[in-house]
Amino acid sequence: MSDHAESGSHAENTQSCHVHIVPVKVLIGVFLVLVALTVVTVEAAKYDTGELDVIVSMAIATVKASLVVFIFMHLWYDKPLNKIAFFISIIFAAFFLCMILLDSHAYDAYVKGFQQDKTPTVAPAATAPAPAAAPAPAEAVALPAKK
Amino acid sequence: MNTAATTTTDEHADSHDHEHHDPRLAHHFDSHQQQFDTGKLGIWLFLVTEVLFFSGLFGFYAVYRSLHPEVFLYASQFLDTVLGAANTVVLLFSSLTMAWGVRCAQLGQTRGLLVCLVTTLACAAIFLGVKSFEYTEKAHHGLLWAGMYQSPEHHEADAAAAPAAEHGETAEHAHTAAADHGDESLFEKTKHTLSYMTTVLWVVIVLAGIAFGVFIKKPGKMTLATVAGCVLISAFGMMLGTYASIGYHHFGHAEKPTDEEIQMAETVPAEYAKQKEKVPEPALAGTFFSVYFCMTGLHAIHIIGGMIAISWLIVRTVHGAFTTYYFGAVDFVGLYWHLVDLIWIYLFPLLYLIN
Repeated sequence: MSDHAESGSHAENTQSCHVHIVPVKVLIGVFLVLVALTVVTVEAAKYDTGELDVIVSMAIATVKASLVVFIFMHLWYDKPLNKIAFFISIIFAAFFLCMILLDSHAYDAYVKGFQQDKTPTVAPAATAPAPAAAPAPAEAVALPAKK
Repeated sequence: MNTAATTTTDEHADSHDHEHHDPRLAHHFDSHQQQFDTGKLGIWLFLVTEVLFFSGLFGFYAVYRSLHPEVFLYASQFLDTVLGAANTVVLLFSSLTMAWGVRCAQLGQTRGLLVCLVTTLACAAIFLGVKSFEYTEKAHHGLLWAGMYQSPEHHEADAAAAPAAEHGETAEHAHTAAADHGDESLFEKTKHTLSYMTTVLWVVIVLAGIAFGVFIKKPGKMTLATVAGCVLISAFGMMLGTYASIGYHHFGHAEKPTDEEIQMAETVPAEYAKQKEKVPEPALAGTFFSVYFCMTGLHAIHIIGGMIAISWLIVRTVHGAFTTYYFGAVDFVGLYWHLVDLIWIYLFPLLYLIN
């Protein structure tokens, strides 16, 4: 604080704030790209690509999100500290999602085994004693037959 | 204050007097640059907590979808992709105007800043209007969270009960008519509720105006007028969004399904067509709507918070608070607003575009 008194010429310097200013053309261009990508996701969702569906829509969403973060939120031109803070949060969110997904599927094999063990013991009690060979394939055959 | 400072013969206080006269610069900052950078780090840390906050809900979504994909496949057919996409574009546009507003603030263009902020506020209100139409429609169709969820099958069962007695060609004709009627009456109910809600909205506006008049001591005319203007813009935007989606529903309902239905009726027997187009309803369908209402509801709350913050900016802009070296508040609210937009960018494909 005390070093202020000696710097009279500094007074003007405090009245300035140097930041990156994004040109209007870039802003409008980014907006148009974002709208185009929205249309692309909606159109892409109409094609049945199975498992790939989520990946494609998430990839497009990530492209859109990074456009917003880097251009609209000026993160590209921002201080490294802000970049680090934001990306660490993204990394930890991703880590969190991966961990709970791993955890919720960690027991899939056990659950499957349990269900396979359970169903034959229930089935004979309810109906005629069916052969103990895997009831799951039997259902899979029965379902298309219904249609 | 001034006289007190000079009498306490302190070179520190003296420097205060001459250099830090600027009311826009807080005492504990050396320069505007430092003040701005500090604020910016603060808002980024806040956004970090927001990301982690929402990641809990995204985790809920991810686990549930990976365990029961069929529920999402079934339930997302009740979400209107066109309304969702329209809302996305509205929100993207509001993001553009917000970024433009920040640019105007940095260049000291007060008028441009005001126009941009008002547009952003109006877009946010339109978004909420469309959302309120979607929520109301779902409530009337019984598509609520688990526990409150009513299977949509029961509407169709009601509709199908009547024409089931007669057979032949007239049966399917009557059937579609009945189904239409059922849907139509639900739509009428939706519209009725929304017009009721509009009335409530106006009551709220009037009450808010009175409250502001009472609670603000010595209300500056300009502040009061600006606040009233912000509330009015929000209300009109919400009505615009709601009635636009009602109009879309009217239009879409008359045109699209009949074409498809006629083609269906001509090519395949009605029974078969019905069976084919319908995905069997999973037992846990209500849970999808729990996820839907949690995520979009929390997002809507963030939109409302953003609207309040933008209104505050508008009031300050009208008073000429922002200059080329003091625009931190605009930038920080803008960052928050972009984050809200960012979350919607992910929510839209996750909820509306499941195939």
